[in-house]
Parts: sequence; structure tokens; C-alpha cells
Amino acid sequence: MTDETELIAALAAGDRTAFETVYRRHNAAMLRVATAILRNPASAEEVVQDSWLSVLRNAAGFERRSSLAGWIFAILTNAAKSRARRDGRMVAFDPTEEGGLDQAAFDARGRWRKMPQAWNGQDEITPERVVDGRRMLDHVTAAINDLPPAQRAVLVLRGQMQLEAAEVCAMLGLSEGNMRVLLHRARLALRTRLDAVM
Amino acid sequence: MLNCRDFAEQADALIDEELGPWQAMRLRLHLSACKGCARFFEQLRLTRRLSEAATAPGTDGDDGETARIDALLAAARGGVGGGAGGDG
Repeated sequence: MTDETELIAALAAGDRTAFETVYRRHNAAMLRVATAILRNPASAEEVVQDSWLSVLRNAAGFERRSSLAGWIFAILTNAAKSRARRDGRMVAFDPTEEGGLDQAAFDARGRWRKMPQAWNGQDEITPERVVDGRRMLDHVTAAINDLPPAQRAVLVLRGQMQLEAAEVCAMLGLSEGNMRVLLHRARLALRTRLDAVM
Repeated sequence: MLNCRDFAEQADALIDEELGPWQAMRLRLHLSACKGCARFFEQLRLTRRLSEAATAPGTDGDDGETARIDALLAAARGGVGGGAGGDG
């Protein structure tokens, strides 16, 4: 927590190093979440820029009722939802959206049609390992970007940024049960994508 | 009787310890007896680790970022009308 306290104080003072640290830590995830809400990369980019300005201008008043990441993503999701409403778009997420487990992998009795095969070198896979011409990390990022919007937003906020479940539910207007289902579906979909390249 | 599809559908909830003790035990029992599901389970764990690693700072880094960071800092300073330095 001390690290975060120092980081917030430095941010409030407009310290470049502190801002760069926070920016590099969160910017890509913020773009993903904003795009999931707005369904429009150009609008998402603008909302993310505006959110960073809010973060810089309001860091001094940050009251520590959440983590720094929780605060930043609350600013972002509020800004994205306002923008969506202004643009006349729906902001509600569909908790029943398709995707997740590959149902075709099972027969009528629920058994594997074809047993999952061990991934090549499964025990020593690292994010940097190159498979099929790309780093594992790049395969994962591409698969995340292809997830349906609600699954993508939940995966980033809960699965990656590790925000509190209640915070994520409030940001996306989801019940905790639906949020969990979306998160599980997202991870199952990612595993299916990775299985295809391994 | 719990089948492979039931197991796969609930495997991520099992990792997150969201299942009741009875259901978790049924899944673990299936896991210990089914080689395909054991592979699936390990791959799901690995997928989770990789997706968490995909947020590491700098993974999306590019040269334009430095310029954007500077522009945002300048805009924030300009926008507060000098108020940020008021206490110092």
C-alpha cells in the first residue's frame, strides 16, 4: 500500500515518472474496456484520453475508498457510459451473450468427442514463447480482443485488473452471478483459441 | 452422473472455489478418473495465467506513448489553471 500511497501523491503532484508508470500499467486495458462499452475504437480512444485528464486533475482529491485501479476504471466506465448515452447507444451488457465452451467438442452423452491433447511443451509455456509465429502473449491478446463485449470487459476488469467483484458489477451493471458466468465463459473461450494454435 | 461437458462447464468455477463442497467433490472425483478432463483443467489453469500476464506493463507499448503521456501532462497542467502547484 505504501507504494500506492507514494504513487498517488506523485500523480497528484504531476510527476511524469509516476504518471508514465500508471499509464503504461492501465492504458491498454482501459482501451479494451472502453471499446467493449462503446463498440467504437475512435470514441473509446477519446474517452480514455479524457479519463486520463480526469485522473491527473483529481488525483489530489482521491479518497482511497477503492484501489487506485478501481478509481481509475470507475472514472473510465462512467465516462464511457455517459458518452454512449450521448451518442444514443445502449450501454446494457448482455449476460447471455454467446461463447464459452465449445459444445461441438462433446457427444450426445456429454463425453469428449476427441480427447483434449496435451499442448506442445505444456509444462514450460511462458508468455514469451513463440508458437505459430507469434508470442503466446500476442495470441492471448488477440483472443481477448475477439471476445464478445461483456466477456471482454469482465475478463479485463476482474480477471486481469483483479478489481473487486462488487466494483466490476457496479461498473458494468451486472449481477454478481452473471458477472461470474461471463468471466468463466471468457476463459473457456480463450482456452479454445489457444488449443487451436498449440 | 457427471460427464465431461458438465466438468468443463464448471471447471473455472472450481478453480475460483465458487462451488459448494458436494459439487466440488463430484468434479474432483471426475477429474481424478478422466485423462481428457485432467488435460483440459491444466490448460484452463495455464490460460488463466497467460491472460493475467497479458496485462504486464509495456506489453502494448509503442513509441507514440511517450508523446501521448507528455501531451496529457501538459493538458492537465493547463486545464487546472496552475491550481496543481498551489500548495507547493
